[in-house]
Amino acid sequence: MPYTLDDFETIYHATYPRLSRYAFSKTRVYSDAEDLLQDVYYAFYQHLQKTDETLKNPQAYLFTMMDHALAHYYEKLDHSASTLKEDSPIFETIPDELDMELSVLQKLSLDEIWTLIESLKEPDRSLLIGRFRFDYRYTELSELFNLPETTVKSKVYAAIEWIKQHIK
Amino acid sequence: MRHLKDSIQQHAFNEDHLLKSIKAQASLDGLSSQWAKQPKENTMKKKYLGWILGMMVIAVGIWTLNPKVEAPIITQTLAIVTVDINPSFALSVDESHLVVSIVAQNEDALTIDTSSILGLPVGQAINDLVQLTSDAGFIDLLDLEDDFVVVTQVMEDGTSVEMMDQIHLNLEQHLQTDTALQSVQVIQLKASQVEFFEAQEKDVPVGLYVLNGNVAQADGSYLSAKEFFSKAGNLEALQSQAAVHTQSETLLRTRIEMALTELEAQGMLTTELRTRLEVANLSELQALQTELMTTYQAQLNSNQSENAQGTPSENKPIETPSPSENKPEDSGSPQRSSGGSTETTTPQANQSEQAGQGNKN
Repeated sequence: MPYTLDDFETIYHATYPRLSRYAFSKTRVYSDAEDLLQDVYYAFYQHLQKTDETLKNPQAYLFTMMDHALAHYYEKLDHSASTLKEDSPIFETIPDELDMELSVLQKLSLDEIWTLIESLKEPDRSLLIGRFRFDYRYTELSELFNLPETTVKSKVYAAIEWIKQHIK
Repeated sequence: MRHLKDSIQQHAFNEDHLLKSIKAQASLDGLSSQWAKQPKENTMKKKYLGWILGMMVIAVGIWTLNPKVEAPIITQTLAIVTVDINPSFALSVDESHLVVSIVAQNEDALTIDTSSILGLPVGQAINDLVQLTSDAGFIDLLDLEDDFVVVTQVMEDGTSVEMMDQIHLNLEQHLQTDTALQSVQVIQLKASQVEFFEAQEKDVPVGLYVLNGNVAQADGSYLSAKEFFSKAGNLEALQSQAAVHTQSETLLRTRIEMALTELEAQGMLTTELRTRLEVANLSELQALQTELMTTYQAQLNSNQSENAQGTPSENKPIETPSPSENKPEDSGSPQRSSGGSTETTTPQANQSEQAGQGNKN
Protein backbone atom coordinates (compact mmCIF):
# COMPACT_ATOMS: atom_id res chain seq x y z
CA MET A 1 0.00 0.00 0.00
CA PRO A 2 1.30 3.47 -0.80
CA TYR A 3 -0.13 5.11 2.31
CA THR A 4 0.85 5.26 5.94
CA LEU A 5 -1.11 6.08 9.05
CA ASP A 6 0.48 9.52 8.98
CA ASP A 7 -0.93 10.04 5.51
CA PHE A 8 -4.36 9.09 6.72
CA GLU A 9 -4.14 11.57 9.58
CA THR A 10 -2.89 14.30 7.25
CA ILE A 11 -5.79 13.75 4.92
CA TYR A 12 -8.17 13.47 7.85
CA HIS A 13 -7.18 16.81 9.33
CA ALA A 14 -7.09 18.49 5.94
CA THR A 15 -10.58 17.40 5.04
CA TYR A 16 -12.41 17.22 8.33
CA PRO A 17 -13.65 20.83 8.64
CA ARG A 18 -15.26 20.87 5.24
CA LEU A 19 -16.54 17.31 5.28
CA SER A 20 -18.08 17.68 8.74
CA ARG A 21 -19.80 20.89 7.74
CA TYR A 22 -21.01 19.23 4.58
CA ALA A 23 -22.38 16.20 6.44
CA PHE A 24 -24.17 18.47 8.89
CA SER A 25 -25.67 20.62 6.15
CA LYS A 26 -26.98 17.55 4.34
CA THR A 27 -28.38 15.66 7.31
CA ARG A 28 -29.30 18.60 9.52
CA VAL A 29 -29.09 16.19 12.42
CA TYR A 30 -25.95 16.44 14.51
CA SER A 31 -25.78 12.85 15.71
CA ASP A 32 -26.49 11.41 12.26
CA ALA A 33 -23.83 13.59 10.71
CA GLU A 34 -21.25 12.47 13.24
CA ASP A 35 -22.12 8.83 12.65
CA LEU A 36 -21.77 9.27 8.92
CA LEU A 37 -18.44 11.00 9.36
CA GLN A 38 -17.10 8.18 11.43
CA ASP A 39 -18.34 5.58 8.96
CA VAL A 40 -16.87 7.39 6.00
CA TYR A 41 -13.49 8.03 7.55
CA TYR A 42 -13.28 4.49 8.79
CA ALA A 43 -14.07 3.14 5.34
CA PHE A 44 -11.46 5.51 3.95
CA TYR A 45 -8.98 4.24 6.51
CA GLN A 46 -9.63 0.71 5.29
CA HIS A 47 -9.39 1.78 1.69
CA LEU A 48 -5.99 3.34 2.16
CA GLN A 49 -4.75 0.11 3.63
CA LYS A 50 -5.97 -1.94 0.70
CA THR A 51 -5.31 0.25 -2.27
CA ASP A 52 -2.23 -0.05 -4.43
CA GLU A 53 -2.87 3.22 -6.20
CA THR A 54 -2.12 6.76 -5.18
CA LEU A 55 -5.15 8.97 -5.00
CA LYS A 56 -4.57 12.28 -6.71
CA ASN A 57 -7.61 13.74 -5.07
CA PRO A 58 -8.28 12.17 -1.67
CA GLN A 59 -10.71 14.89 -0.69
CA ALA A 60 -12.87 14.30 -3.74
CA TYR A 61 -12.77 10.61 -2.97
CA LEU A 62 -13.92 11.27 0.57
CA PHE A 63 -16.77 13.48 -0.59
CA THR A 64 -17.83 10.80 -3.02
CA MET A 65 -17.84 8.29 -0.20
CA MET A 66 -19.86 10.72 1.88
CA ASP A 67 -22.37 11.09 -0.93
CA HIS A 68 -22.81 7.36 -1.12
CA ALA A 69 -23.24 7.24 2.65
CA LEU A 70 -25.78 10.04 2.44
CA ALA A 71 -27.63 8.16 -0.29
CA HIS A 72 -28.01 5.17 2.01
CA TYR A 73 -28.92 7.49 4.84
CA TYR A 74 -31.67 9.12 2.81
CA GLU A 75 -33.00 5.75 1.76
CA LYS A 76 -33.49 4.79 5.37
CA LEU A 77 -34.78 8.16 6.39
CA ASP A 78 -38.46 8.90 6.51
CA HIS A 79 -38.45 11.96 4.32
CA SER A 80 -41.69 13.19 5.72
CA ALA A 81 -39.94 13.61 9.01
CA SER A 82 -37.23 15.68 7.42
CA THR A 83 -39.61 18.45 6.49
CA LEU A 84 -39.64 20.41 9.64
CA LYS A 85 -42.82 22.02 10.76
CA GLU A 86 -43.23 25.02 12.89
CA ASP A 87 -44.28 23.50 16.15
CA SER A 88 -43.72 26.25 18.59
CA PRO A 89 -44.88 29.81 18.87
CA ILE A 90 -42.67 32.34 17.22
CA PHE A 91 -41.13 34.81 19.55
CA GLU A 92 -41.36 37.94 17.53
CA THR A 93 -39.23 39.88 19.94
CA ILE A 94 -36.23 37.59 20.02
CA PRO A 95 -33.18 39.80 19.99
CA ASP A 96 -30.85 39.51 17.01
CA GLU A 97 -27.91 38.83 19.27
CA LEU A 98 -28.65 36.80 22.32
CA ASP A 99 -27.21 37.86 25.61
CA MET A 100 -23.82 36.22 25.52
CA GLU A 101 -23.11 36.58 29.18
CA LEU A 102 -25.31 34.15 30.96
CA SER A 103 -23.50 33.83 34.20
CA VAL A 104 -25.48 30.80 35.19
CA LEU A 105 -23.75 28.82 32.47
CA GLN A 106 -20.39 29.66 33.93
CA LYS A 107 -21.24 27.58 36.94
CA LEU A 108 -21.00 24.37 34.97
CA SER A 109 -18.10 22.71 33.30
CA LEU A 110 -18.02 22.41 29.55
CA ASP A 111 -18.76 18.72 29.88
CA GLU A 112 -21.80 19.33 32.05
CA ILE A 113 -23.17 21.88 29.60
CA TRP A 114 -22.62 19.42 26.81
CA THR A 115 -24.56 16.77 28.65
CA LEU A 116 -27.51 19.13 28.77
CA ILE A 117 -27.13 20.01 25.12
CA GLU A 118 -27.11 16.37 24.18
CA SER A 119 -30.43 15.89 25.92
CA LEU A 120 -32.13 18.54 23.79
CA LYS A 121 -34.59 17.31 21.21
CA GLU A 122 -34.11 17.80 17.50
CA PRO A 123 -33.97 20.13 15.68
CA ASP A 124 -33.21 22.36 18.66
CA ARG A 125 -29.94 20.61 19.39
CA SER A 126 -28.73 20.73 15.82
CA LEU A 127 -29.76 24.36 15.48
CA LEU A 128 -27.67 25.17 18.51
CA ILE A 129 -24.74 23.20 17.13
CA GLY A 130 -25.08 24.73 13.69
CA ARG A 131 -25.10 28.18 15.25
CA PHE A 132 -22.17 27.74 17.61
CA ARG A 133 -20.09 24.97 16.04
CA PHE A 134 -20.24 26.01 12.40
CA ASP A 135 -21.13 29.65 12.96
CA TYR A 136 -24.08 29.53 10.65
CA ARG A 137 -26.04 32.76 10.62
CA TYR A 138 -29.71 32.61 11.46
CA THR A 139 -30.60 33.29 7.86
CA GLU A 140 -28.45 30.37 6.78
CA LEU A 141 -29.97 28.08 9.40
CA SER A 142 -33.36 29.21 8.22
CA GLU A 143 -32.56 28.06 4.69
CA LEU A 144 -30.89 24.88 5.84
CA PHE A 145 -33.70 23.73 8.10
CA ASN A 146 -36.49 25.17 6.01
CA LEU A 147 -37.80 27.19 8.91
CA PRO A 148 -38.62 30.86 9.22
CA GLU A 149 -35.74 32.86 10.61
CA THR A 150 -37.81 33.97 13.58
CA THR A 151 -38.54 30.35 14.39
CA VAL A 152 -34.87 29.50 14.23
CA LYS A 153 -34.06 32.30 16.59
CA SER A 154 -36.84 31.33 18.95
CA LYS A 155 -35.72 27.72 19.01
CA VAL A 156 -32.12 28.63 19.74
CA TYR A 157 -33.24 31.04 22.39
CA ALA A 158 -35.61 28.47 23.90
CA ALA A 159 -32.87 25.85 23.93
CA ILE A 160 -30.58 28.16 25.86
CA GLU A 161 -33.38 29.00 28.28
CA TRP A 162 -34.03 25.31 28.76
CA ILE A 163 -30.38 24.72 29.61
CA LYS A 164 -30.40 27.59 32.05
CA GLN A 165 -33.48 26.24 33.77
CA HIS A 166 -31.93 22.84 34.18
CA ILE A 167 -28.84 24.35 35.70
CA LYS A 168 -30.95 26.10 38.29
CA MET B 1 -22.57 32.25 26.49
CA ARG B 2 -18.95 31.92 25.65
CA HIS B 3 -19.07 28.92 27.96
CA LEU B 4 -21.86 27.43 25.92
CA LYS B 5 -20.04 28.00 22.65
CA ASP B 6 -16.84 26.57 24.05
CA SER B 7 -18.71 23.50 25.19
CA ILE B 8 -20.21 22.97 21.76
CA GLN B 9 -16.93 23.64 20.01
CA GLN B 10 -15.21 21.16 22.25
CA HIS B 11 -17.76 18.37 21.95
CA ALA B 12 -19.71 18.61 18.71
CA PHE B 13 -17.84 17.22 15.73
CA ASN B 14 -14.68 17.04 17.78
CA GLU B 15 -11.96 16.30 15.28
CA ASP B 16 -9.50 14.64 17.63
CA HIS B 17 -12.17 12.64 19.40
CA LEU B 18 -13.48 11.19 16.17
CA LEU B 19 -9.97 10.31 15.04
CA LYS B 20 -9.38 8.46 18.27
CA SER B 21 -12.63 6.59 17.80
CA ILE B 22 -11.61 5.53 14.32
CA LYS B 23 -8.23 4.34 15.53
CA ALA B 24 -9.83 2.49 18.39
CA GLN B 25 -12.24 0.78 16.06
CA ALA B 26 -9.40 -0.09 13.71
CA SER B 27 -7.48 -1.52 16.59
CA LEU B 28 -10.41 -3.65 17.66
CA ASP B 29 -10.80 -4.89 14.10
CA GLY B 30 -7.12 -5.73 13.89
CA LEU B 31 -6.41 -3.18 11.20
CA SER B 32 -4.03 -0.86 12.96
CA SER B 33 -1.17 -3.33 12.88
CA GLN B 34 -1.28 -3.40 9.10
CA TRP B 35 0.12 0.09 8.89
CA ALA B 36 3.19 -0.99 10.85
CA LYS B 37 3.96 -3.75 8.38
CA GLN B 38 4.31 -1.33 5.56
CA PRO B 39 7.64 0.31 4.76
CA LYS B 40 7.62 4.06 4.96
CA GLU B 41 6.86 5.61 1.62
CA ASN B 42 8.91 8.17 -0.12
CA THR B 43 8.32 11.47 1.61
CA MET B 44 7.79 13.12 -1.78
CA LYS B 45 4.22 11.89 -1.65
CA LYS B 46 3.61 13.55 1.67
CA LYS B 47 5.28 16.67 0.45
CA TYR B 48 2.84 16.98 -2.39
CA LEU B 49 -0.19 15.69 -0.57
CA GLY B 50 -1.32 19.11 0.60
CA TRP B 51 -0.74 20.58 -2.82
CA ILE B 52 -2.78 17.86 -4.43
CA LEU B 53 -5.57 18.34 -1.94
CA GLY B 54 -5.69 22.01 -2.68
CA MET B 55 -5.50 21.62 -6.42
CA MET B 56 -8.22 19.08 -6.60
CA VAL B 57 -10.54 20.57 -4.07
CA ILE B 58 -12.97 21.95 -6.61
CA ALA B 59 -13.77 18.52 -7.87
CA VAL B 60 -15.11 17.58 -4.49
CA GLY B 61 -18.63 18.87 -4.59
CA ILE B 62 -19.34 17.59 -8.06
CA TRP B 63 -20.64 14.28 -6.99
CA THR B 64 -22.47 15.54 -3.98
CA LEU B 65 -25.96 15.81 -5.33
CA ASN B 66 -26.38 12.66 -7.30
CA PRO B 67 -26.27 9.47 -5.34
CA LYS B 68 -26.82 7.53 -8.53
CA VAL B 69 -23.43 8.44 -9.86
CA GLU B 70 -20.79 5.84 -9.39
CA ALA B 71 -17.42 6.79 -8.03
CA PRO B 72 -15.89 8.95 -10.73
CA ILE B 73 -12.48 8.63 -12.28
CA ILE B 74 -11.21 11.20 -9.88
CA THR B 75 -7.58 10.61 -10.65
CA GLN B 76 -8.02 12.34 -14.01
CA THR B 77 -10.07 15.32 -12.96
CA LEU B 78 -8.35 18.65 -13.34
CA ALA B 79 -11.13 21.17 -13.79
CA ILE B 80 -14.82 21.76 -13.25
CA VAL B 81 -17.19 23.29 -15.76
CA THR B 82 -20.83 23.78 -14.89
CA VAL B 83 -23.64 24.15 -17.41
CA ASP B 84 -26.92 25.80 -16.42
CA ILE B 85 -29.70 25.64 -18.98
CA ASN B 86 -32.53 24.89 -16.70
CA PRO B 87 -31.29 21.46 -16.08
CA SER B 88 -27.91 22.09 -14.50
CA PHE B 89 -24.85 19.89 -14.79
CA ALA B 90 -21.29 19.86 -13.51
CA LEU B 91 -18.60 18.39 -15.73
CA SER B 92 -15.25 17.14 -14.53
CA VAL B 93 -12.59 17.64 -17.16
CA ASP B 94 -9.20 16.00 -17.44
CA GLU B 95 -5.94 17.36 -18.76
CA SER B 96 -6.96 16.56 -22.34
CA HIS B 97 -10.17 18.59 -21.97
CA LEU B 98 -12.20 15.40 -21.98
CA VAL B 99 -15.20 14.99 -19.71
CA VAL B 100 -14.49 12.26 -17.19
CA SER B 101 -17.57 12.73 -15.02
CA ILE B 102 -20.87 14.48 -15.20
CA VAL B 103 -23.20 15.13 -12.31
CA ALA B 104 -26.76 16.38 -12.26
CA GLN B 105 -27.05 19.54 -10.21
CA ASN B 106 -30.82 19.64 -9.92
CA GLU B 107 -33.86 17.42 -10.29
CA ASP B 108 -34.49 18.32 -13.92
CA ALA B 109 -30.99 17.22 -14.81
CA LEU B 110 -31.57 13.85 -13.18
CA THR B 111 -34.17 13.06 -15.84
CA ILE B 112 -31.61 13.24 -18.66
CA ASP B 113 -29.35 10.35 -19.60
CA THR B 114 -25.93 11.92 -19.98
CA SER B 115 -23.88 8.77 -20.32
CA SER B 116 -23.07 9.60 -23.94
CA ILE B 117 -21.27 12.76 -22.81
CA LEU B 118 -18.47 10.96 -21.03
CA GLY B 119 -15.18 11.00 -22.89
CA LEU B 120 -16.11 13.90 -25.18
CA PRO B 121 -14.14 17.13 -25.46
CA VAL B 122 -15.70 19.65 -23.12
CA GLY B 123 -16.98 21.93 -25.89
CA GLN B 124 -18.65 19.09 -27.72
CA ALA B 125 -20.00 17.76 -24.44
CA ILE B 126 -21.68 21.08 -23.70
CA ASN B 127 -23.13 21.15 -27.21
CA ASP B 128 -24.50 17.64 -26.76
CA LEU B 129 -25.91 18.56 -23.36
CA VAL B 130 -27.82 21.41 -24.95
CA GLN B 131 -29.12 19.02 -27.58
CA LEU B 132 -30.11 16.41 -24.99
CA THR B 133 -31.88 19.09 -22.98
CA SER B 134 -33.76 20.10 -26.09
CA ASP B 135 -34.62 16.50 -26.90
CA ALA B 136 -35.98 16.13 -23.38
CA GLY B 137 -38.30 19.08 -23.97
CA PHE B 138 -36.78 21.59 -21.57
CA ILE B 139 -35.93 23.95 -24.38
CA ASP B 140 -36.81 24.14 -28.06
CA LEU B 141 -33.91 25.05 -30.30
CA LEU B 142 -36.17 25.60 -33.27
CA ASP B 143 -38.76 27.94 -31.87
CA LEU B 144 -38.55 31.70 -31.78
CA GLU B 145 -37.87 32.02 -28.10
CA ASP B 146 -34.24 32.52 -27.14
CA ASP B 147 -32.64 29.94 -24.89
CA PHE B 148 -29.75 30.71 -22.58
CA VAL B 149 -26.90 28.52 -21.45
CA VAL B 150 -24.63 29.66 -18.64
CA VAL B 151 -21.24 27.96 -18.75
CA THR B 152 -19.15 28.53 -15.65
CA GLN B 153 -15.52 27.57 -15.25
CA VAL B 154 -14.51 27.06 -11.67
CA MET B 155 -11.10 28.58 -11.17
CA GLU B 156 -8.50 26.59 -9.34
CA ASP B 157 -5.41 27.78 -7.59
CA GLY B 158 -2.02 27.91 -9.22
CA THR B 159 -1.23 25.77 -12.19
CA SER B 160 -4.66 25.35 -13.66
CA VAL B 161 -4.99 28.83 -15.18
CA GLU B 162 -3.52 27.55 -18.42
CA MET B 163 -5.87 24.63 -18.27
CA MET B 164 -8.80 26.98 -17.90
CA ASP B 165 -7.67 28.96 -20.91
CA GLN B 166 -7.44 25.78 -22.95
CA ILE B 167 -10.93 24.78 -21.92
CA HIS B 168 -12.15 28.21 -22.90
CA LEU B 169 -10.55 27.85 -26.33
CA ASN B 170 -12.04 24.42 -26.79
CA LEU B 171 -15.49 25.79 -26.04
CA GLU B 172 -14.92 28.71 -28.41
CA GLN B 173 -14.11 26.29 -31.23
CA HIS B 174 -17.34 24.41 -30.70
CA LEU B 175 -19.33 27.61 -30.43
CA GLN B 176 -18.27 28.32 -34.01
CA THR B 177 -19.21 24.94 -35.43
CA ASP B 178 -21.73 23.03 -33.35
CA THR B 179 -25.38 23.41 -34.19
CA ALA B 180 -26.95 23.23 -30.75
CA LEU B 181 -24.53 25.78 -29.29
CA GLN B 182 -25.14 28.08 -32.21
CA SER B 183 -28.87 27.94 -31.55
CA VAL B 184 -28.64 29.36 -28.05
CA GLN B 185 -27.15 32.33 -26.26
CA VAL B 186 -24.10 31.19 -24.35
CA ILE B 187 -22.94 33.19 -21.34
CA GLN B 188 -19.49 32.29 -20.08
CA LEU B 189 -18.60 33.04 -16.48
CA LYS B 190 -15.80 32.22 -14.09
CA ALA B 191 -16.27 31.24 -10.49
CA SER B 192 -13.88 30.85 -7.60
CA GLN B 193 -13.58 27.71 -5.55
CA VAL B 194 -15.21 29.51 -2.67
CA GLU B 195 -18.20 30.41 -4.81
CA PHE B 196 -18.36 26.85 -6.06
CA PHE B 197 -18.51 25.37 -2.58
CA GLU B 198 -20.88 27.99 -1.28
CA ALA B 199 -23.19 27.23 -4.18
CA GLN B 200 -22.93 23.52 -3.45
CA GLU B 201 -23.83 24.11 0.15
CA LYS B 202 -26.84 26.18 -0.77
CA ASP B 203 -27.92 23.78 -3.51
CA VAL B 204 -27.79 26.53 -6.11
CA PRO B 205 -26.23 25.98 -9.53
CA VAL B 206 -22.88 27.75 -9.39
CA GLY B 207 -23.51 29.82 -12.50
CA LEU B 208 -26.61 31.28 -10.93
CA TYR B 209 -24.80 31.69 -7.65
CA VAL B 210 -22.14 33.81 -9.35
CA LEU B 211 -24.96 35.96 -10.66
CA ASN B 212 -26.38 36.00 -7.16
CA GLY B 213 -26.87 39.74 -6.91
CA ASN B 214 -28.79 39.63 -10.15
CA VAL B 215 -30.86 36.49 -9.89
CA ALA B 216 -31.57 36.27 -6.17
CA GLN B 217 -35.09 37.23 -5.27
CA ALA B 218 -36.55 38.64 -2.10
CA ASP B 219 -37.83 35.28 -0.94
CA GLY B 220 -34.37 33.72 -1.25
CA SER B 221 -35.13 31.77 -4.41
CA TYR B 222 -33.26 32.23 -7.65
CA LEU B 223 -34.36 33.07 -11.13
CA SER B 224 -33.40 30.50 -13.72
CA ALA B 225 -30.92 31.58 -16.36
CA LYS B 226 -33.72 31.81 -18.86
CA GLU B 227 -35.95 33.86 -16.60
CA PHE B 228 -33.12 36.22 -15.85
CA PHE B 229 -31.78 36.73 -19.35
CA SER B 230 -35.21 36.90 -20.94
CA LYS B 231 -35.74 40.25 -19.25
CA ALA B 232 -34.72 43.16 -21.40
CA GLY B 233 -31.40 44.70 -20.46
CA ASN B 234 -30.13 41.96 -18.18
CA LEU B 235 -27.97 40.33 -20.81
CA GLU B 236 -26.47 43.63 -21.86
CA ALA B 237 -25.77 44.54 -18.24
CA LEU B 238 -23.56 41.49 -17.87
CA GLN B 239 -21.40 42.11 -20.90
CA SER B 240 -18.62 43.49 -18.74
CA GLN B 241 -18.30 40.45 -16.51
CA ALA B 242 -19.21 37.66 -18.89
CA ALA B 243 -18.49 36.57 -22.42
CA VAL B 244 -21.75 36.41 -24.32
CA HIS B 245 -22.16 34.51 -27.55
CA THR B 246 -25.34 35.17 -29.44
CA GLN B 247 -26.93 32.53 -31.59
CA SER B 248 -25.88 32.03 -35.19
CA GLU B 249 -27.44 34.41 -37.69
CA THR B 250 -28.00 31.55 -40.08
CA LEU B 251 -29.82 29.47 -37.50
CA LEU B 252 -31.88 32.42 -36.33
CA ARG B 253 -32.93 33.02 -39.91
CA THR B 254 -33.88 29.36 -40.19
CA ARG B 255 -35.96 29.57 -37.03
CA ILE B 256 -37.84 32.58 -38.33
CA GLU B 257 -38.40 30.89 -41.66
CA MET B 258 -39.86 27.88 -39.89
CA ALA B 259 -42.17 30.12 -37.93
CA LEU B 260 -43.29 31.87 -41.10
CA THR B 261 -43.89 28.56 -42.82
CA GLU B 262 -46.08 27.57 -39.95
CA LEU B 263 -47.98 30.81 -40.22
CA GLU B 264 -48.54 30.16 -43.89
CA ALA B 265 -49.82 26.71 -43.09
CA GLN B 266 -52.45 28.43 -41.00
CA GLY B 267 -53.47 30.51 -43.95
CA MET B 268 -51.72 33.71 -43.04
CA LEU B 269 -50.05 36.10 -45.39
CA THR B 270 -46.35 36.37 -44.75
CA THR B 271 -45.13 38.04 -47.90
CA GLU B 272 -43.99 41.22 -46.24
CA LEU B 273 -42.31 39.35 -43.42
CA ARG B 274 -40.46 37.14 -45.85
CA THR B 275 -39.30 40.15 -47.77
CA ARG B 276 -37.95 41.69 -44.61
CA LEU B 277 -36.35 38.38 -43.67
CA GLU B 278 -34.46 38.12 -46.94
CA VAL B 279 -32.63 41.39 -46.47
CA ALA B 280 -32.32 41.50 -42.68
CA ASN B 281 -28.99 41.69 -40.91
CA LEU B 282 -28.52 40.17 -37.45
CA SER B 283 -30.01 43.04 -35.48
CA GLU B 284 -32.95 43.22 -37.85
CA LEU B 285 -33.43 39.49 -37.51
CA GLN B 286 -33.55 39.86 -33.76
CA ALA B 287 -36.10 42.63 -34.08
CA LEU B 288 -38.17 40.50 -36.40
CA GLN B 289 -37.92 37.61 -33.98
CA THR B 290 -39.18 39.78 -31.14
CA GLU B 291 -41.94 41.15 -33.29
CA LEU B 292 -43.16 37.70 -34.21
CA MET B 293 -43.04 36.56 -30.60
CA THR B 294 -45.04 39.54 -29.44
CA THR B 295 -47.53 39.07 -32.20
CA TYR B 296 -47.89 35.48 -31.21
CA GLN B 297 -48.67 36.53 -27.67
CA ALA B 298 -51.29 38.94 -28.92
CA GLN B 299 -52.88 36.21 -30.95
CA LEU B 300 -52.77 33.81 -28.04
CA ASN B 301 -54.53 36.32 -25.82
CA SER B 302 -57.05 36.98 -28.50
CA ASN B 303 -57.77 33.30 -28.96
CA GLN B 304 -58.15 32.76 -25.25
CA SER B 305 -60.57 35.62 -25.03
CA GLU B 306 -62.60 34.26 -27.90
CA ASN B 307 -62.62 30.80 -26.45
CA ALA B 308 -63.84 32.16 -23.16
CA GLN B 309 -66.70 33.89 -24.95
CA GLY B 310 -67.48 30.83 -27.02
CA THR B 311 -67.15 32.69 -30.31
CA PRO B 312 -65.10 31.44 -33.21
CA SER B 313 -62.13 33.48 -34.31
CA GLU B 314 -62.76 34.45 -37.85
CA ASN B 315 -60.27 36.31 -39.91
CA LYS B 316 -59.42 38.92 -37.37
CA PRO B 317 -56.46 41.07 -38.26
CA ILE B 318 -53.52 40.99 -35.95
CA GLU B 319 -51.82 44.22 -35.24
CA THR B 320 -48.11 44.25 -35.62
CA PRO B 321 -46.59 45.95 -32.60
CA SER B 322 -44.34 48.87 -33.13
CA PRO B 323 -40.69 48.35 -32.18
CA SER B 324 -41.21 50.27 -28.97
CA GLU B 325 -43.89 47.81 -27.95
CA ASN B 326 -41.67 44.80 -28.34
CA LYS B 327 -41.20 43.37 -24.90
CA PRO B 328 -39.29 40.11 -24.79
CA GLU B 329 -40.29 39.58 -21.20
CA ASP B 330 -43.91 39.33 -22.24
CA SER B 331 -43.33 35.83 -23.42
CA GLY B 332 -45.87 33.16 -23.03
CA SER B 333 -44.48 30.08 -24.60
CA PRO B 334 -44.12 31.17 -28.16
CA GLN B 335 -42.89 27.99 -29.68
CA ARG B 336 -43.92 27.92 -33.28
CA SER B 337 -44.94 31.53 -33.32
CA SER B 338 -48.12 32.32 -35.12
CA GLY B 339 -48.40 35.97 -35.90
CA GLY B 340 -47.70 38.32 -38.69
CA SER B 341 -47.55 41.81 -40.00
CA THR B 342 -50.33 44.30 -40.35
CA GLU B 343 -52.00 42.55 -43.20
CA THR B 344 -51.71 39.14 -41.63
CA THR B 345 -54.90 37.50 -40.51
CA THR B 346 -55.73 34.45 -38.49
CA PRO B 347 -58.43 32.33 -40.01
CA GLN B 348 -59.10 30.43 -36.83
CA ALA B 349 -57.81 29.66 -33.48
CA ASN B 350 -55.49 26.74 -33.30
CA GLN B 351 -56.21 25.20 -29.98
CA SER B 352 -54.27 22.06 -30.58
CA GLU B 353 -51.14 24.09 -31.09
CA GLN B 354 -51.72 26.05 -27.95
CA ALA B 355 -52.01 22.83 -26.06
CA GLY B 356 -48.59 21.88 -27.28
CA GLN B 357 -46.91 25.01 -26.01
CA GLY B 358 -46.62 24.08 -22.44
CA ASN B 359 -43.45 22.17 -21.91
CA LYS B 360 -40.99 24.99 -22.01
CA ASN B 361 -39.50 26.04 -18.73
